[in-house]
Amino acid sequence: MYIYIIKRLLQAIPVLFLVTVIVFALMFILPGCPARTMMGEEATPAEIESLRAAMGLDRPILVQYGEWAGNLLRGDFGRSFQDGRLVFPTLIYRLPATIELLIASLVVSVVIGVPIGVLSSLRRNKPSDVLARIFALLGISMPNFWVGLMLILIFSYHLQWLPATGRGTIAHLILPSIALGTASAGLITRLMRSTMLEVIGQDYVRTARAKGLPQAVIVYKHALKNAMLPILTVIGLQMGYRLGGSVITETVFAYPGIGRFAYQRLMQRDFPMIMGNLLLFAIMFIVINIITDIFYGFLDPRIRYD
Amino acid sequence: MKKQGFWGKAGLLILIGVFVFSFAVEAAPDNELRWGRGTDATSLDPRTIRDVYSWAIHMLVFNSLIYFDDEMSVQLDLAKSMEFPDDTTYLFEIHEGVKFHDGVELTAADIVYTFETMQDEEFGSPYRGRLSPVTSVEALDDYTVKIEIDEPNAPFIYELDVYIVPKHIAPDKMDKEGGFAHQPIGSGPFELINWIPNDRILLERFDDYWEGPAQLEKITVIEIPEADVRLTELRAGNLDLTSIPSRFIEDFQEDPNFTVGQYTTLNWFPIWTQHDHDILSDVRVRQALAYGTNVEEIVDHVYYPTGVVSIGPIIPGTWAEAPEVIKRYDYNPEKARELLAEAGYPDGFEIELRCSSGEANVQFGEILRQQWLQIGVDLNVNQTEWSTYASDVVSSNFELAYHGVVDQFDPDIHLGRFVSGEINGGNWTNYVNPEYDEVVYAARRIIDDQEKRAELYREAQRIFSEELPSIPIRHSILTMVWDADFQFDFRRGVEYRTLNEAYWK
Repeated sequence: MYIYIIKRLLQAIPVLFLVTVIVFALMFILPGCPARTMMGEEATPAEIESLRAAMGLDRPILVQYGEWAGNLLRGDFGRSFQDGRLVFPTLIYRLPATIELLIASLVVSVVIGVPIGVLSSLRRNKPSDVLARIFALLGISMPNFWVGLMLILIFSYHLQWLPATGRGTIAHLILPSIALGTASAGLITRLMRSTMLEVIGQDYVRTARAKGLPQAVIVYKHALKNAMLPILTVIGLQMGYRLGGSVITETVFAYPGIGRFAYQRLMQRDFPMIMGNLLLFAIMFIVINIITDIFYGFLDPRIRYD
Repeated sequence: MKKQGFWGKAGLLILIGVFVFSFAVEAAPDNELRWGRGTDATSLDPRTIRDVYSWAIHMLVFNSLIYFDDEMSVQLDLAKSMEFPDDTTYLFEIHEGVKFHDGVELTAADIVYTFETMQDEEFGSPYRGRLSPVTSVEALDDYTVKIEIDEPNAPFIYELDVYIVPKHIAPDKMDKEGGFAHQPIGSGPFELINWIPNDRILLERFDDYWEGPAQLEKITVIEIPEADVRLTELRAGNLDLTSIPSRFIEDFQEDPNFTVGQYTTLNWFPIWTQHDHDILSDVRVRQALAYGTNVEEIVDHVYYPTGVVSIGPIIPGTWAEAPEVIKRYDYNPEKARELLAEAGYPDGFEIELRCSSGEANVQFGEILRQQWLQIGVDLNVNQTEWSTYASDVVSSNFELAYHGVVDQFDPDIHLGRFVSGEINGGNWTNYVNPEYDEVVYAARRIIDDQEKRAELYREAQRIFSEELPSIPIRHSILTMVWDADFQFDFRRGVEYRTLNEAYWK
């Protein structure tokens, strides 16, 4: 088991290396010069040139990459162009907020998606199944910024039940986690339904039925456990994609995590901060995938980590 | 099964508790202002930056020698008196007993230090270029400062509106690590307690403020990027002061629970025309484009209620305004086509307008394109994101461009952009007109006679309106909304300085 985890972590190294190359290259493809953004429209070309030189942006790309990557290896993510803050502590300070939101949205999508999917498969083609399928379709189709704004409109503006912005209590977490979790909930509902239908048609389920087992036992003990495996893969992947969604959701809800920070610093062309942020996203994506793989073992004893 | 029931109930109780608690902490303490903004400050060292979001905080944390009121006339802040011994010397006597937040007294030495660091090339302040006329800043004694500049320069006084930092704390090198910029100490009515970047800024009343302590005890500046969400939080009572999407302004004006404050800003949005361009260098073409532009329609459709039609670079309501001499170009496509034919383009021409991305610019470009098609001009609107756009504009890499310029504290600031040579960061339209140059330069040299200056600017505005070095489109209106119980005198120029005197009813 430990060997497996170490192996996976080692495999992550070339991936991370590739990520640094891509992230760095992206900064050069991005239109707009950070020196220009910082100095404002009134600066003269000479002033901008001198700032560019001071920021080290006038050196060859490979030299700049080498320096950045070298510093990364020493744990130095650099300093913000914009306000001089250290990249790593600034991001780490905001990371718990994002992790909190990701976990809450995972809970939302699983708590909504799994039961609805199971019920829908058991009542195939009945009105409740149709309703569940419509829900799933809507969940997948609605963009999360729109869901976010609608939730704010209903629960903060009209009903005034929940706060629209900020962080600190569970109440603050409810609306953003629903906004972020809806799409995955829809996807999980659909997938749950189809895998359940598949599993229910299997021989061992028919055997269980023939044994005269109660419906609840068949569903939970025999069918659901087997149907969960592909769902877990999707949940893991969705966690990763949700990192992207967090950029929008956190911006809408003025939620102080790294997603909204990435968006704001991107607008400012704050390269060190954006690169650090993207790297952190990549690391989180990799970690989430490793955790997902480890979970397989708990659910499916046939999987061995040698 | 029984156990599970217990845990279920316990969980529910905890959840309810958390809910109740969460609402309890939402309620604001008395005498606090919760101020929602779309963008965070960048640096709180006032020497290093001047974006509006940082500046608004500087206003509360620091003091300046002088500032400008809503009529753009000079007001004294730290200065007790201001004299002009000659055309190039400013003499300030400052108040005694002004304290920084750490208790140290503010003296002339701090003022000299602030100016010296901003002038220092190594420090790299964005103000350095603007302060280039300064030849010396000298402390005659603890409370007297003499500032000398190289030549008579009337609008220069605007550059003296800089915030004074404490010599004993503020670094003399641009602080790459940002210690002072993140934890500044000033002499203003509020002191910084904590700044969580891209989230919130906490300010508390400075009890030893030299003009007496402010009414408010606490100001929390909260960053909420989405305007619709700020509006929701204002309505829900979680914010006290904020800006809102313009389409809701009328609703709030009718709502007795809120106060809407508005003023015409010092901004000006023209279509900048490139005079190195073969077609656009012909004045008849520029006039034709002006006649072919229905500015009222544009302002009504795109900018209502946050824009007003502009007839020239001078901001309405400021002392140099002279609408009576300005040649008007009321919408007249017929006349536009005549002028184009006269200039040798009876079939029109194709031209590109550059602007930055954004919904308003999309609409602006679309309407302008439709209007200009009527006079045979085929307009291509090329939208790019701001930093690309700005790089191209300052290097004069455009045919037509559309964006606003800000902060016209002095008439010279916008009019001076069309003087050949480099004034205020350069004349990116490359307009050359010796007659115009002469008038604007003459007005710059008169330091103590506003009437005489106004006369010269009247002439400059006349020339501008006939020659149209750029086509005026609009000025903008700034709107803030706050709780009706909050008494706040929000005016042009003064802006958030008056939060010092604002109070809850």
